[in-house]
This record gives sequence, C-alpha cells and structure tokens, in this order.
Amino acid sequence: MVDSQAMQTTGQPGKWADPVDRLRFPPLPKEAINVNTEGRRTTGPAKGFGSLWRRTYAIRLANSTATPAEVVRVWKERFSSFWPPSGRYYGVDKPIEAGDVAVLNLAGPAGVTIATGILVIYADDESFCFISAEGHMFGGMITFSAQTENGTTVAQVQALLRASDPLFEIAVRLGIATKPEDQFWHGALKNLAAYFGVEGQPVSQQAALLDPSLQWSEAKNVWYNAAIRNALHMPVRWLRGQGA
Amino acid sequence: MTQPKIQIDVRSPVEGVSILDIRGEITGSAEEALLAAYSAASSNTRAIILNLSEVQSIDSFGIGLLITLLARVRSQKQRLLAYGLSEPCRRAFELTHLDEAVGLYTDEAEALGGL
Repeated sequence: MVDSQAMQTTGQPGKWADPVDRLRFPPLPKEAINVNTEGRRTTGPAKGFGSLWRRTYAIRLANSTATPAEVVRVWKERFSSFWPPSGRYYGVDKPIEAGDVAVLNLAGPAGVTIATGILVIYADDESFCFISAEGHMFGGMITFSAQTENGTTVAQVQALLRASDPLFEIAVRLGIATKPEDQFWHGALKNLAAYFGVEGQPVSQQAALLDPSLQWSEAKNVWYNAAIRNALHMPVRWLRGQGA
Repeated sequence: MTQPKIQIDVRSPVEGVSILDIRGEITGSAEEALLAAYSAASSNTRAIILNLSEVQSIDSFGIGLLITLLARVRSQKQRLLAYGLSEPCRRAFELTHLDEAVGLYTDEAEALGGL
C-alpha cells in the first residue's frame, strides 16, 4: 500500500491506479466543505451494506460526429463543468486520470451539504471509473464511458453500488437517495450532450437488482455516515460564518 | 455492442470444487460468458476457483462482473478463490477490496490447498 499523497503524481492513464491506504486531498477552494473526507479509506460495492444494484444511464449523441474516445477525452477534461448545480466536484485542475482524488459536495436532505470523496481507480481512452470513500451514501464504483451503437456514439454512466450503511439503505428503499441520484446523472449526461451540440435527446435508465441480500458485517459503516457527520458540523460552519 | 474477447472452460479437479479457466479480456462484454460458466459450475459445488493466469486485461466493467459473481457465490453459501493474477489484476482486486473477500493464491495447487 502507498499513500495517495505521493500517488497523485504517478497516475497512469489507461491503467489501474496504485492502491492507497487513506485518501489525501489537495488544497480546496474556500467554499468547499471537506468534513469527513481527509484520511478516509475507499469502500466500493464489496464493502457496502445494502442490496447490490447496477444503475445505468445513457444518452445517444445523435447527429454528432464525436467518437467515443473524443467524448471521453472531453469528459475527462471538463468533468466538473457537466455537473448539475446540486453537486460540486473539487478535483485537481487537469484531465482526469487514474490515481486522482476529488472531494464531492452534494445536496442532501434538509439543506445539508454532504461532503465525501472519490478515488479514480481506472482510466482508459474510452472510460474512467471512480470508487467512493467511507461515509459516502453508496459503497460504489461508477464508470463513465462512451461506445458506438448502430453508428451513433452513446455516452454512459454505470454505477455498481450498495448503500453504505443501514440508514442509507432505508433512504434507498424509500427512494430518498435514488431519485436525486437519477436526476443528477440525467442532468450531467444532458449537459455533456449539449457540449457536443446535441439537445433534446432523452436519457435512458436501467436499474438491475443484482443481489438483494444485506451485508450485515458492514453495518458498522454508519460510524462514517456523511449525512450525519455533515449535519452535526453545520452549527460549527454557521458559527464560523458569523465570525467571518 | 462489443464482441466478447473471453473464453471460459469449466472443470472439476476435486469433488465439490469447480475451476473456471478464463482466457482473454474481462470486460463488460464478458457478462454472458461468465454467468454461463458459473451456472455450469455451480451445482453441488462448495468452492469456485478462478484461474486468471491467462487473463490479458481487466477493466472496471470486468471487475464489476467479478463483484457481482462474488455476491452470487456467497448467496449460494459457496467460496470464491482465484489464482494466477497479473499485477494489473491484483491491483484491481486491491482497489475494489475484492482481495479482502476472495482468497488469492499463486497457483492451482496452492488454491486447492487453501480450501
């Protein structure tokens, strides 16, 4: 195992990242919230608590001449610019490659901003993949890719995930967690398509339940639950804001 | 759709143990072949061993398939082991924490000894 601080400079495009023990993030903009991120480990679907799902979102870049490699190149270069306003991605200011880390600020329930992190575990010319950090709502991997289908380039987001802990699993089962997730990736794919001049294309969505069982040995993940930790930290942020 | 570049043979060197000899690339297009091989291997089996010594590459979709396979194996109260991992394969297992759930071995004899 190596520390991610050193690893950030040794990412290998088209390769798997070097494994890391704990995530270390570069300096963040002042407005970014990094509660519950520094020093966390990665998780992923093998370490999650809830049922295992595969959720796939795709958009056809109809009438665009962009190849899958061109789409993924732009996606890596301008990743955060395609995010809808409900989320912020704080990564390093360069095209995404394996070994990069990023802090995410996501809109949570009751006005809570959920801060969490990701590690880019894999990248090649036509795809790249994140794995989530402890505390994230999902123990998940998410792969961004493009491919040609019937002569048209299709951009795709595919998440393989389990809710991280029992509380997030309840949120998933109530649809509290999945509906915003679905809306978010619909928005991101439409923004990506718009960059290539494609407007009005629908986003297709598939959700497959791959394993309904719960991994009770991972229930302890609730200790790092980002929603709880960020909610508890809200008064501190408010007081700091008053003092500023 | 991308054509699968994978071949999987199933054998049972010991009663109750099935080995999947996987050759080629483990990508998203390998799903059908992998699930078919598991179906062929899974009856009356207490352990599934993946022989990865002739796997040329694995991408993030491919490692996702192995995570899904692990869930299926566990739901059948079976064990999942693997041997012959290349350095990129081992790295993928480590990054996704599959190495904590799948017994990893150097070769077939060691894997069979680990049962």
